[in-house]
Amino acid sequence: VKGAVVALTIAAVATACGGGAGDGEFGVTHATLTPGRIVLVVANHSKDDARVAQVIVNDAFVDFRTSRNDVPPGDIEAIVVFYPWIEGESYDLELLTATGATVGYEIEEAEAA
Amino acid sequence: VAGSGVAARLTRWSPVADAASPSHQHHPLSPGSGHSGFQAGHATVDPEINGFDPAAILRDFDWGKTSKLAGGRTLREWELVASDKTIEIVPGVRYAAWTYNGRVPGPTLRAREGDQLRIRFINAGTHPHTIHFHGIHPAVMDGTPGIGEDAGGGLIEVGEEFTYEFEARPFGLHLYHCHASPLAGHIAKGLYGVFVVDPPGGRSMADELIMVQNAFDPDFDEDNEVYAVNTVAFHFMYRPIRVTRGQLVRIYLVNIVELDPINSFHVHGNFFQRFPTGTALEPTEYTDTVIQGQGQRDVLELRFPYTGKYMFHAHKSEFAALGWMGLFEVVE
Repeated sequence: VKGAVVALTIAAVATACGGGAGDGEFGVTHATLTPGRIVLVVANHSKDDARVAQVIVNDAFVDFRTSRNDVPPGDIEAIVVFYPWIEGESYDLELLTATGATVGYEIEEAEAA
Repeated sequence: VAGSGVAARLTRWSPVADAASPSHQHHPLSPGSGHSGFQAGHATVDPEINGFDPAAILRDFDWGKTSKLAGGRTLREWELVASDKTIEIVPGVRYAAWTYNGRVPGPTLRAREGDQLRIRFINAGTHPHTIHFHGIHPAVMDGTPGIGEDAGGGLIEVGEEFTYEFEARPFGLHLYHCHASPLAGHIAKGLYGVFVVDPPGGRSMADELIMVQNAFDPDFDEDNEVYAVNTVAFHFMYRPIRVTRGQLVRIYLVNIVELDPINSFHVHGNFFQRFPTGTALEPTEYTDTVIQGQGQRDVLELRFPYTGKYMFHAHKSEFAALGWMGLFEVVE
């Protein structure tokens, strides 16, 4: 059931959001928070496939799910991060890619969608 | 939600990382901060990918090729080769390391105080390197750039070699590392190893473990993203270190982390005797947590009175949550 909910969440968010990273870059365009989860939408505007290997929230590796490992050039993907976020607090997220490059995203004030 | 992002330009990843990544679901490691939220899972780096096993490094002591000199002293000889090698430091994330003999940390060299040591160093890497040994030795054998070049030492250029030779002293827990500039970069890339000198009479029988606290900065932002003991984050959470109840366990603990000024080691459910740098046979402290600066070493001795699983980790919780945690599994 958990997997199905995650898949639906990913599909819904990915459909609703467009890319926001700069030209030639891979980045996070949007974050949506639900209890215990942070859903990130990533856009790949680079010329290479992108792979998020690990996710770090506030200097801790965390559990996450994606519907596929690789994000092709020009495509978007949703990443569901399982994290017990707290209303009103701030969070620093880092997506650690397979190459060791990191993609940062800051949530300045957590608020449920 | 108010948010802002930083994007990244990417380079292609390696088939090595590709093959290792589980499909779609990631149980990396420990949700939440600290160690309380760790979830049991399957995600650690396959030792076959790196060609070395953090667990094997624990008990891998290299006494060298041994012979006797005139007068009866023991001569120990090793060959260390510096080379570039891509390794995996946490599942799915590769790192362009520099290694001694293809592993991080390099081989653990072991001798007895008074032995004569001869280490042939070959630089097969792509940058000039050295081997700087901690210990007492002549300047030309110190592996410091600018010192000893006249004798062929100092900075060893790509494709060149040099043989370090000196007496093993004092007894204790030492290390060796590259001393080429930029120093932090050469160390952080993986050019370091442990150098154990036993007292003349040896140490008591124990289950001896090499634990090298290290860290990696894969995006080169001068801030480590991954912490570990023996290189692979969380490895000993998935592969607990099995020890025997009541048996003396001796830990050779070394901190070689760059970019962070201190590190620490804490064990659950037990206390240990601490022998700073291992240069005396009487402990100085009975504790469950030890703080180490960069390059600092301690020999720790303990016995587990009860069976079960006991965590060990950096008590700097950030380091723990970024990979520096593991388990002892105590069995009968």
